[in-house]
Amino acid sequence: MSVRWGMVVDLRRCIGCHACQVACKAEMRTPLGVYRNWVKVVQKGRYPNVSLSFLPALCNNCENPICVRNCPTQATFRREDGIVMQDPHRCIGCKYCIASCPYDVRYLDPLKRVVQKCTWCHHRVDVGLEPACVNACPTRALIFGDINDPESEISKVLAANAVQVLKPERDTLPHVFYIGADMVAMRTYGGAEERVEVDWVRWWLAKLGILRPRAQAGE
Amino acid sequence: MTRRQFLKWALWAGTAGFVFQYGLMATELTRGGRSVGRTTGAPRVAVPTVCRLCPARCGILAFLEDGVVVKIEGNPKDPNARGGICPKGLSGVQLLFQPDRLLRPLRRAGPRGSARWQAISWDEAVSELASRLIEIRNNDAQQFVFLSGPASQRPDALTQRFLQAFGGPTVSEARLLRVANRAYALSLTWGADSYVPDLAQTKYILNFGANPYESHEMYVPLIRRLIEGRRGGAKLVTFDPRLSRTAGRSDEWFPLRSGTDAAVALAMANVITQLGLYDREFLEKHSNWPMDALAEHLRPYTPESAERFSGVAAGHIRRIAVEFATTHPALLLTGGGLSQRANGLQNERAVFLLAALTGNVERRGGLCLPRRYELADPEPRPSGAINPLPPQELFVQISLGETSPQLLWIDRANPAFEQPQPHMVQEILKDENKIPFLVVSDSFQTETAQLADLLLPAATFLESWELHSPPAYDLVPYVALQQPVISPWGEARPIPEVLLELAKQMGVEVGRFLPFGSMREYVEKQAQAIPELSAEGGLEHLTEVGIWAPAGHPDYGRDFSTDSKRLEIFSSVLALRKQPALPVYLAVTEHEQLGQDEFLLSVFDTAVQDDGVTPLLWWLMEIEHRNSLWINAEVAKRMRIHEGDWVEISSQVGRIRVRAFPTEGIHPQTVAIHGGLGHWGLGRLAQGGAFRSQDPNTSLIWWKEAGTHVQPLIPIRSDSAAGGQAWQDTVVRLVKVEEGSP
Amino acid sequence: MEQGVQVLYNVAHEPPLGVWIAVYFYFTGLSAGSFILSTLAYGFGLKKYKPIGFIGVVLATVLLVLAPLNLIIDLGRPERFWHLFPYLNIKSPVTWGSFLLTIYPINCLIYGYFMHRGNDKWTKITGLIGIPLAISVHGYTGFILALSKARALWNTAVMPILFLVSAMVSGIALMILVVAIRRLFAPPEERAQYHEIMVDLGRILAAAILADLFLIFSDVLVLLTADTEAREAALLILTLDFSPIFLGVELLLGSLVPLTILALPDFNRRMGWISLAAVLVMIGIFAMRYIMVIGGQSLPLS
Ligand SMILES: Nc1nc2c(c(=O)[nH]1)N[C@H]1C(S)=C(S)[C@@H](COP(=O)(O)OP(=O)(O)OC[C@H]3O[C@@H](n4cnc5c(=O)[nH]c(N)nc54)[C@H](O)[C@@H]3O)O[C@H]1N2
Ligand SMILES: Nc1nc2c(c(=O)[nH]1)N[C@H]1C(S)=C(S)[C@@H](COP(=O)(O)OP(=O)(O)OC[C@H]3O[C@@H](n4cnc5c(=O)[nH]c(N)nc54)[C@H](O)[C@@H]3O)O[C@H]1N2
Ligand code: SF4
Ligand code: SF4
Ligand code: SF4
Ligand code: SF4
Ligand code: SF4
Ligand SMILES: [Mo]
Repeated sequence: MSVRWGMVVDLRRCIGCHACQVACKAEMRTPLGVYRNWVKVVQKGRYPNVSLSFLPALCNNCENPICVRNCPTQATFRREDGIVMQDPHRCIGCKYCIASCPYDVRYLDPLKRVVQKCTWCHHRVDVGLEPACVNACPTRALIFGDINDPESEISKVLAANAVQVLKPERDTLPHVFYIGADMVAMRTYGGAEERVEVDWVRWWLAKLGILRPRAQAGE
Repeated sequence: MTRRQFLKWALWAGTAGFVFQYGLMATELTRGGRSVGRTTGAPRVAVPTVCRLCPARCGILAFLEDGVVVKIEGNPKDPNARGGICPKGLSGVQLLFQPDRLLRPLRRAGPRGSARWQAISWDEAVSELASRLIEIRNNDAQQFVFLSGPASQRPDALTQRFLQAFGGPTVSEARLLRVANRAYALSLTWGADSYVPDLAQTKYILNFGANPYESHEMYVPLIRRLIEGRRGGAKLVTFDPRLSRTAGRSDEWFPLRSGTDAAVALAMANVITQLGLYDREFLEKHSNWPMDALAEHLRPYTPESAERFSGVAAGHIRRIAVEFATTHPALLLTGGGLSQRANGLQNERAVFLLAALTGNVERRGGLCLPRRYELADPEPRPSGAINPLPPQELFVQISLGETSPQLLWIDRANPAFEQPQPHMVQEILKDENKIPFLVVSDSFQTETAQLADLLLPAATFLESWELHSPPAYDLVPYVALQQPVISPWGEARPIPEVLLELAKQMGVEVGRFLPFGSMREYVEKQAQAIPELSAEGGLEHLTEVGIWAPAGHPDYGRDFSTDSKRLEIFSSVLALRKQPALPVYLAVTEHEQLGQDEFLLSVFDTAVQDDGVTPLLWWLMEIEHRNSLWINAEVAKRMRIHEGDWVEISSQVGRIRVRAFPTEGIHPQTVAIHGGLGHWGLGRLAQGGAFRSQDPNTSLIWWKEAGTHVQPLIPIRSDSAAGGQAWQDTVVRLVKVEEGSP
Repeated sequence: MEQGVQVLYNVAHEPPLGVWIAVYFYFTGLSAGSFILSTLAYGFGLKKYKPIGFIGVVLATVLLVLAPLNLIIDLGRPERFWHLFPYLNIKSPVTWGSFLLTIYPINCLIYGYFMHRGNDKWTKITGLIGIPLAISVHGYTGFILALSKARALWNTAVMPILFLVSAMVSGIALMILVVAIRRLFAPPEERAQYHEIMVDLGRILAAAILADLFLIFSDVLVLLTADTEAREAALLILTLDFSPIFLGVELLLGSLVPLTILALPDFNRRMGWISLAAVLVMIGIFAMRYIMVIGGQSLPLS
């Protein structure tokens, strides 16, 4: 069978160190303020029953990538081996792919003004090297390989463990598989207590200078 | 075709062959050791060396394209880090090409601290130093004071040698700011100043005040094995007043009252003794103190009394004690939270006692003695003495006039920023009566360097030689070579190389002990002194592979190197010094009488920053550029403090303003803050705000503030027996304020 | 478990599509609305509306020439906009747009040209051809949002039809204002005729607003009961950050107030009130475009 690359993020091994995040910057020279991958850190519980969870995020190199379907110039396209590529020479920077991707893993390069994202370090993979983030991870929480080869490490890990993908309901068929991800880290919307309800009448009266604005928490 | 072109071509052909082969073969990819140009696909030249951004000294590969360092990756040959690397190590590239590096020797041209400089030549700098040092040496050698940094490193062998050859200088190691208490505690107990936890083999990890998910003296090597151990079924239990990332991922987290670990540990020891769960055989063979006497000593340390001090329920203390004693093998981790205290030495010994009682010492899955090659100091060895002085004490002594340096040389340390009570340090450094001549050598402009009379541009670790043998985490010793991957930028030079030249100029009395033409020559001699390494090609071989790691198996059960050759549960040295010789819990009195709005301040490290130069690196700064004050959410609510509000923290020696970070993850009586940010004299990157440089990214910086300097809160205070600075003992008072001031 | 969740680290993402895109949607909507009104007389032979036929097509054309400029300004690489044609991807609604946005203004020009020349037959033919084009031009913008999948506020089946109806609403309102202005400059004997048109348009506007409100109602109701992200999207406009604009501007000021004006027997014949209703509607629809584009992207995805 032909090669189909995939990645496993084993959260039982992840220490939330951000090495994968910095390794990607170092490899791809992604500009300041935009990211091909990052490590979300979430705390839950009430003192003293509190715990943390981590969630490294990157392009899922989906089997059914909505970004590819929606790109009007074929600047982003899917390779035979599953890598969703990004052609910086073709891209016009319409950002429609960014708006479409359910995982927000694409960004407009602030210096080159074209869209970029993780392409699973295809330049490394193509010469037989693992992606830079996988290479850096100090605890081997990241596993990359051919999921069509039953003998590969990743196939064995996938076969032996319960895995999750992000937002399966979006039908993008992600190929970054998580082991042991926590629901509160995977979910993207704020919990009930993070919501700040707005009294729209007061809001407008304050905007129009009729009422004094109420002091807001935070900055 | 030039040679260079040919090489390139040959490399290309090599990869082409590889790709071809690869297409036919299995689909497993290689983990590292090679790297290719991102747009060209051309193989990069790899130079193996050692990361020096923390004490772990992981093996790394510096990859070059057209002679420029473009990437750092882990060296898969390194038996400790096994090719893994941390975010700081990866960012070494940015250190090298820092927009604000020091590139020429400078002499002060205005009043001290005026930042007016005159560029001079190295010759001029060295000959001035030589004449001054000769004079001091002839009068009173102690008046040459050398503060060696960086604080995370032992001084290089050549620097130490120069100081010995000089004979009788006063020497402070910035390193001892943090690690002195643990080092002394362990030396007293079993003769070595550190331990290697055999984590991959263990079944139980009891952690007091270490945060290995984010920082550790042996960060990458340790965490790798800790995770292996946990995957193998080991339980991780953490005591820490703060939900560190380690605590947040532990099987159990016990937020205890700051500074009360020894009470908990001794209560556990008591439980283990009472229940007879200790390892009788081991103790009979190795302990220097009878068990019944120890039991008697431990008797007052009941779980109930520990609960009163620490707030940890007695039932939990009993349960964890039994779990720890009945799970084999088991081990302990201890970190800064435990040792950086006025009672640090006793804390360390109290916790270590648990390992001793259960026989988890020098055993598979327990705490083991560090295995490393003792690197030879080649002949002719200097015999001169040096007068050691803890760095925080150095400035106290200078202010009291007990030490009066004629020349103070600060090498790659930044006491004006990183020491406790830095304002006092700054005053002293500015005072020409107290410090007639101040030499600073560093790679960057720093708060300390600003005050120098003579400022020397130091090469970074990526531009210098040194031979290392870090404690082997698989317990089979190995050697790692740090070598220049590129020639120093501008006129920067490795300081040991400068010392070689200085020694020559100082005449035969000093110079004869430093007869080496270069650092390389010295390192070569060190490598030659290891016969097996020498047989495999010595330094020449090492420059190619970076690591020399002979195969072997852990030889558990090594002897202890205390005077008694036993595990000194009762420390004879402490007894002589009239200090408690059996481990005790020393309560800190002012901690017990906290007033309203008073808290215990805890300082910690994070995975992407340290207390040193990492704020110069934007790959790290963009992840973390602000240090907020952690405060218990319930307490914050009571004080009407919301996230992002400014609070003023004051201690007995200083006051600062920071933003508050209310969280469920901290003990109600502790507040905590990361202590490495808030620079005003390190390069522009460390200070926040966009600026133009060769790197277009610096104009994209969006953060305006770059943290708050925490050290002004921390009084100089040491463990009376071990001399280590008590970073974690500060009592602070909090008030909410309207605005932050810079 | 719901309690005490705190995100300690995450990265912030700029919303990719900016206000330019909201303006673009607004313009195409106005253009489509105006065009369809213009065909009332020429395409469907309602002679009464002849006076607005030409104004309609001029507006439709001008707006549709302006609209894509917003798009191009918003591109990271405007100089590469031509890549849309040779490298097209037929599955992408943006590609549909590339063609619609090219053909539709050309058709408008031809339609206008025949109208100007008084060639009723060809005006009718091109007018009728133009109607599906106008519907597509605006309908496809609804698909742009609906098919982006990522954003719960967009990813609904009512989106294209909601966009069309709101286009009609804003188009009619625009036309009312144009007629009102036209009336001021018209000779006195023609003024009554314009007045009549305005009153008629007012009625159509009221009907269109009702249809629009119904669609909004069903959209929000379904969002509230679909899945978590959809519910968050509904709350975003009902009680959270975008509620002041949604409730205050889009609904109250932009729909309910004009609807009341147009329903009250006395007011709905007065030119001033009709014009005021039209102005409010135009503001309300812009608010709707803004909420859709910016609000839709304000829910974090990571
Ligand atoms: N509030 C507070 N303050 C603290 C602490 C605290 O806990 N709280 N901790 C203290 C402690 S323990 C420490 S360790 C310090 C950390 O303070 P530092 O010692 O300043 O920390 P590092 O960043 O490790 O220093 C690294 C620097 O040394 C250089 N370097 C490393 N190796 C070499 C080499 O071989 N050759 C050359 N030429 N240069 C080299 C690097 O290039 C870099 O410039 O901060 C201290 N200050
Ligand atoms: N990424 C990174 N790695 C590093 C460094 C770095 O700066 N960054 N620095 C290196 C250096 S130089 C050193 S010295 C080491 C330092 O390594 P550590 O000493 O392990 O690091 P700290 O962050 O100081 O860890 C202190 C922990 O103790 C907790 N603590 C505070 N008070 C108490 C207490 O009373 N009891 C208990 N049980 N816990 C307490 C704090 O909340 C914190 O989690 O790390 C080295 N590695
Ligand atoms: S490098 Fe590995 S351990 Fe660190 S955050 Fe990334 S995945 Fe987790
Ligand atoms: S994660 Fe997003 S960008 Fe990546 S392939 Fe899937 S849809 Fe496209
Ligand atoms: S921004 Fe580039 S890659 Fe994304 S959809 Fe537009 S043209 Fe395609
Ligand atoms: S695979 Fe490569 S591009 Fe993707 S996140 Fe990892 S390092 Fe970045
Ligand atoms: S742990 Fe990180 S900073 Fe420390 S030596 Fe290893 S790579 Fe360097
Ligand atoms: Mo340290």
